[in-house]
Amino acid sequence: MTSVCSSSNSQVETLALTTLIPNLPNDISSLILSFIPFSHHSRLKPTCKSWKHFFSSKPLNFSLRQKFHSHLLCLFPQDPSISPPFLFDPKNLAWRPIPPMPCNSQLYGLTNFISIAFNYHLYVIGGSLFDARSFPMDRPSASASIYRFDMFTNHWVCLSPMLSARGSFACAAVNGGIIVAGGGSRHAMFGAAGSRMSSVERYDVEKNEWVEMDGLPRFRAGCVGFLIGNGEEMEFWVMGGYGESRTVSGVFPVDEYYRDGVVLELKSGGKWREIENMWEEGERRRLGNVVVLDGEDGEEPGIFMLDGADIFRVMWNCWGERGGVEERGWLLWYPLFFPRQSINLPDDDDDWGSVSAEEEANDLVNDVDSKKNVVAKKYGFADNLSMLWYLTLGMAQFSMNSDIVCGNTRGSKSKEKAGYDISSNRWQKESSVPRTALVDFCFGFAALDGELHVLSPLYTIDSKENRRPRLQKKGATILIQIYHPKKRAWRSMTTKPPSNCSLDFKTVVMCTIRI
Amino acid sequence: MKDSFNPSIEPPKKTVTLVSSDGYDFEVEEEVALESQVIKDGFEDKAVDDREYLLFNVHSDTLELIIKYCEKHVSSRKSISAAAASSSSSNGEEALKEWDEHFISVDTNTLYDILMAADYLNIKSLLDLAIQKVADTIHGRSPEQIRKKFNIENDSIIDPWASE
Repeated sequence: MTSVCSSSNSQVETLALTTLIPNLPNDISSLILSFIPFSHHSRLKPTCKSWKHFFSSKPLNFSLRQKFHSHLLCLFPQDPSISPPFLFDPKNLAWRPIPPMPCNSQLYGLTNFISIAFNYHLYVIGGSLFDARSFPMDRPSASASIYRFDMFTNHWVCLSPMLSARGSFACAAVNGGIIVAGGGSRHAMFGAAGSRMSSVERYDVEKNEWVEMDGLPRFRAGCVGFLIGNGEEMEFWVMGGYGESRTVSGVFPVDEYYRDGVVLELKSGGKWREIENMWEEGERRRLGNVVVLDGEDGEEPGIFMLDGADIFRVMWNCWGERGGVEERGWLLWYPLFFPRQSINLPDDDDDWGSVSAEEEANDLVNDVDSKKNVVAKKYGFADNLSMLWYLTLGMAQFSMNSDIVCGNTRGSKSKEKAGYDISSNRWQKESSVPRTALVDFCFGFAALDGELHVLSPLYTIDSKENRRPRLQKKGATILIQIYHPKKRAWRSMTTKPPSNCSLDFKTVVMCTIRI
Repeated sequence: MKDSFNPSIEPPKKTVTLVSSDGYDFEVEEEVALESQVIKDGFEDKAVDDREYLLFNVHSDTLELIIKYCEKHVSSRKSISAAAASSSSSNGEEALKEWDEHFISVDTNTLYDILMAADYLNIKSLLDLAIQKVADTIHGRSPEQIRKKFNIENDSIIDPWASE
């Protein structure tokens, strides 16, 4: 059988000495065992020594399984050194905790770290954390440390740290390495009160060392990164994020979100080029969650973004039908959530900081009043009362929280088909999440097995009369809505996470690993 | 079938002879035999009248089953593509899946024979089907049940009182 093409011959030899399944040749037996989903492995290990050995031996196991790979989702509910991360197998709806990361007694509250899978290893890189030795205590510092988890031996290893500490950065796994770009530290409460940087580094997995690369054109943090193209023409794209911050009333820091991106050509000396803004001002506040769906058999990968409850994608072939920016729901929220645009400031470098929040609010109300009728017509609000409710809600949210996370409201629910092409430089709408949780738009977004998974806590509606959303009792069920981009179809399923694991998808860090 | 109406136009079906390990000859249509990657690989190099394959590792009972599987798959593939061409909806694939399910529901020894023959002849779909069947048996069971089912000796528990 040709599939036993292990890199390590010693593994083959040791396996050959023991029989996996009596009366069957070992190559067939190992094929059979590699068909068994990962979530069953630890349960089956005690069957006999040779099985235990098989399920813990990675190189042979891994090379075999690459043919029948399946994707697992790794979720980090909180600081991984305190609460254990979980592996989720969507095919078998199985959950498995993985041991917590080694912790340091002086460092705590790790957030904004990036988790990325490379081969059968899971990396946890950087992040913002609090250091008990630093002053002031409530100021987070960026972390440079990188930990690696081995899926088969079940152990964490601490690797050599990054040259510059960072959190919430763009990250992608390239051949034999990991590239990180931008990032900074992030304050837990006032997110924008943190540092930003432009440094780019590459990690060599074999040598366990970091190399500095050509830096980003501007400071950029909170951005996403992915790879496009293969072999010679590989490019590392970094999109969105925020650069400079400014303050409202001279106190509250607010991020300036980028609408553009930068591209690093990995081949030609690693120089950055910039791409233009990807959406009009006000179309959306910032880049949503972005995932990359690996293309099958050399196809281009699909780049998808979840923005509010809408899924957008990058199309690679120019379709030429980009006209008609679809009607989105931002009109109502726009003056509330994007106050800068409502007073129509021409440039970024203005005296925004001097406008007090209260004046701001008055401005908004005026502005909104003029638009109200239009909005009311558009959304078919029966009376101004419900409008008012919406506005109050919006105002409250605005005044309470200057850094609103869910900027976009539900867009139009039409299932229009549209394409984005690089030349037109627009994200175009692919679909909408069919069942939106009624309270917020906080979704987990992941690409697994060629499908897009949208995770959200499940709210229940008692009856048609009583349309109040109600969170189920503790250990709430998770609703997973799955979109198949080729079939353009949605399906959904529900699962119960382990009882002691509460998932807040605003802060959960997720990572797809291929086993 | 179309060719039964018009036999003069279609060339006569080419056949291949497969010989089992216990010496039985099986004459099968060429495209049925070509399901096996091993036969396909060296097929063009062989002379037309010398298309006889000695399968030393496959017993006649197993070979019969395998030919049955290949014939079914070739014919159903034809009917599925015909249905697709005439754009009439058919549940051919589902019916085939059902048939596969029924086909592979055999006792363990026969399953092992099919596994090894499919591996030897390199019939990918059959190998996957058989492997999946065994894997399904495994992951619904506890280690104790698995040991019983597959006659695996329990060497995991080390008896501390056992003398060396």
